[in-house]
Amino acid sequence: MKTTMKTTKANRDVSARGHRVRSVLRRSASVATALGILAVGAGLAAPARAAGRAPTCELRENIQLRDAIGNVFTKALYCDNLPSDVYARADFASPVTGWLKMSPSWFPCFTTGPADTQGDKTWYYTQGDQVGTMPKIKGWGVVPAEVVRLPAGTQRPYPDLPRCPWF
Amino acid sequence: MADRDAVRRPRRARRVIPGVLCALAGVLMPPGQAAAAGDAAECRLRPTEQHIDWTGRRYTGDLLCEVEPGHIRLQSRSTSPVIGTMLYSPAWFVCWKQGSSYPGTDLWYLTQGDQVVATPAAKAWGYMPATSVKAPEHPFPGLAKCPWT
Repeated sequence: MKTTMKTTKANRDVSARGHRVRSVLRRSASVATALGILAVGAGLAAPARAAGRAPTCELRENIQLRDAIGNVFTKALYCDNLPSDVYARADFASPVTGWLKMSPSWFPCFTTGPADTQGDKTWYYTQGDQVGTMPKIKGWGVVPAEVVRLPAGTQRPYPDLPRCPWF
Repeated sequence: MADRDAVRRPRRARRVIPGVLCALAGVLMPPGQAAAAGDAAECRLRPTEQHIDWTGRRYTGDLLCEVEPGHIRLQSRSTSPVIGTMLYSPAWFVCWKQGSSYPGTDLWYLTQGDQVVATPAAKAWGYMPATSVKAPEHPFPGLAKCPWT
């Protein structure tokens, strides 16, 4: 059974979708909690997302993360996010390689592109939770800054997060 | 919006998607691999392909094989929760193991799905039963056995 999602421009729709999106996340979180999350190995396991859990947004090091085109990352921002289209390039007209649906997510590097609705030009690299176009890329791409729920006052781009070397 | 032919039509991709995607398209379509409808079912070892799963474990070598789209389970048991879906074919598999019986097989292949359904931390990493993997032989000769039980 395939889940489809409208590929609307994220920068205009993010705020409007916020409410519906948050209820989607809570449903997904309760499913995950009910099924249990097996945390095997170090570094990457996420805790079950219960109602009222404190927000997550931190740089995690000594991890192992690899995208579909051979980039290996040993640190990444692990942060709450809004659902969003994941773009092949930092460009709202770019193909949508996937969709971020779950939260939090891993963001191992950043690049720059057109500003989001808040004027931030940072775009964060991540892997979506559902693959869109270009299936061999397995949903990897970039999201505009406001998708990543950085705490108010956080320096942009997130401190000590590397720039993606290939963009 | 699944355009599963985007990778298989290089000329169209390059006209519409400049810049880095040209490089990506080059990486993803080695010479001689341009697939068209009517190709024989693909199922081959790729000994140098690397992957890292959601626990940080590294794998070298995989099997790229046509697959019946379907459920990805967290463990190699037919009663294990479905945590993902494989939407596209072919798919890659990093190792195989024996698990519980599933209709037609007790062999399972480890992979990453195309859609997260549950257990978000696993990012759709899990097992498909061998009956979903369109290989001529199971386990596929030369694919590593998963180093755990």
